[in-house]
Amino acid sequence: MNHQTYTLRLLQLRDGLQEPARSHFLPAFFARSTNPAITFGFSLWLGFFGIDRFVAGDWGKGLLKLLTLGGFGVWVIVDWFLISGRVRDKNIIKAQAMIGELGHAS
Amino acid sequence: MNRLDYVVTLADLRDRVEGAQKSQFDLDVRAQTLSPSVTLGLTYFLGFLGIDRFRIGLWGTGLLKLCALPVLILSEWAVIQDPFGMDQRLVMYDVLGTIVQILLYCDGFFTPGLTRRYNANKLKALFQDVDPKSPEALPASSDS
Repeated sequence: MNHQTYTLRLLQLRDGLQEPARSHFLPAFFARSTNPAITFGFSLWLGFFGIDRFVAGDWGKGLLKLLTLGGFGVWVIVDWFLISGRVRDKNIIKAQAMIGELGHAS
Repeated sequence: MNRLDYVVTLADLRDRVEGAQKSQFDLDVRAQTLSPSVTLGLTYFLGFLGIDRFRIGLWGTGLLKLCALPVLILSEWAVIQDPFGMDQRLVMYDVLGTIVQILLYCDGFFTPGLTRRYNANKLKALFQDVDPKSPEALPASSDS
């Protein structure tokens, strides 16, 4: 998922909420979500140790990346292109779960 | 600008428009906004040329970064000339180049936020003055 689709998806999810849940949604979401740009930064600087995958919540892949020192250098480069999208996908799943919670609460 | 401020700004702008304008707003978000992650990648790989700053419209600081390039070249030249650090003057060039390099990498902490600010300002310029009561009146610059 690219940055633009991600932003729009968040706005559309917010549209489906009624007040007061609507105004609480974005601050609560950003308190829980992971920053895709920071994860990408980890991928650039510490990708060889799988830190980006750990930050994204993929512990298995992170461990594998750590043990193979970034898939012998290849996986590191592949992840530069994938990691931000992966984090955005996970964030949207979190947002959908939050929408469910807020919907029940209101 | 942090992520929350950015999305809240966009949400406020989006709430102000209705109907066809909302679809136009969504199209403009897709077509005209830039990804902070891509800007960070440019900072990392092409930051020494100021490409990241040029991308988000900061021409002055981009040129300033580009002007640092001769210092980096001088520093590399000094290392090649004096690899064991015997000449004090050449060591000074090397230290200067390292400082510039660190400063260039530090820019990575700012460019994602600056990209979000650039995106928000661009959308504000397109939709700030739109009258919510006239959904047919699309902003003039958004048809490009």
